[in-house]
Amino acid sequence: MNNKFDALKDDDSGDHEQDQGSPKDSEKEKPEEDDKEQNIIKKKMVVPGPGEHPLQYNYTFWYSRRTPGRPASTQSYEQNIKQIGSFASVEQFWRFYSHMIRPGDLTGHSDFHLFKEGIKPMWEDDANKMGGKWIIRLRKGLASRCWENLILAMLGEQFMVGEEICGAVVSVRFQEDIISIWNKTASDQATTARIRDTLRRVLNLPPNTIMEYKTHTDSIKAWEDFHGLVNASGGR
Amino acid sequence: MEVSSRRVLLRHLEPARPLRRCVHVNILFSFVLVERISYTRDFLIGLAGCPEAKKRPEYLPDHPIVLPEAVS
Repeated sequence: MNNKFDALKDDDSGDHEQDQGSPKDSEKEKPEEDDKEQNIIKKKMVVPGPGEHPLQYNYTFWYSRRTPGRPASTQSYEQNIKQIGSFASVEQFWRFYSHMIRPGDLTGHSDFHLFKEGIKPMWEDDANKMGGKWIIRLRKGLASRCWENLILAMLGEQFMVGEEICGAVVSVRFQEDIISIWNKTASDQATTARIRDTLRRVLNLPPNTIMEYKTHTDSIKAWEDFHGLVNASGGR
Repeated sequence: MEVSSRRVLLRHLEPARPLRRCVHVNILFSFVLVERISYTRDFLIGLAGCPEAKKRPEYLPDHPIVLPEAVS
């Protein structure tokens, strides 16, 4: 597994080349500056500020986008995922959230991930490898509102399943959007049922909304079958 | 004979009161340990409008999905 900060450098340079042609010399230096910034973030423990409302857990925002014209490969997922920042309080969450594009305004094959600090939004992470996710497919136009309701329920500890929640993802796709919430133990049916029921309530979903639970083991197998590989190293 | 055995039973029952208080304290203690920080959606939304929630984060990457100004 590559160092994630090396991966971010590749991601930045790739995006510049794809979208804006060859970067200028000054722009080439940006990824290295980003690396330094990211390292500072990593070393510095995020804590609630004075008078702020602490969260039960610290969380990290991530963003990923499939580079146009570049097929998915074993390395590209980790290379394309970018850490936006971590927070420990309600106020810090809003600072990040209010400075980020809403999912409904994203274009292309893009994902926002919000995971507990220390858990990578990858199937192979220790916290995720025995887990799975609830998936809800949304028609276009609903992603921003549903994503906000989902992450507010997660940050506010509304799922009441102890340590089980790992994170949430919103995936913007061509004809539909998908939101999902990941938990640690796919085999714990009481937990997965409680997450499903809470999702229905907090998202105010119509009774006929289709919700699918998928284990990460199944996701990995499907990914391997699709790509004709024995060992997968990507996950979302 | 009958009277004396009832007295014995009563004497055994008397020390039970402090024990019950102990159990009660233990239940309270374990409740405090599992308490989690939870917020309702409305409470969280209410905090979105405070000035602290609109400041630009100290470390924010230069990236197309990052906005120059806060939006509500």
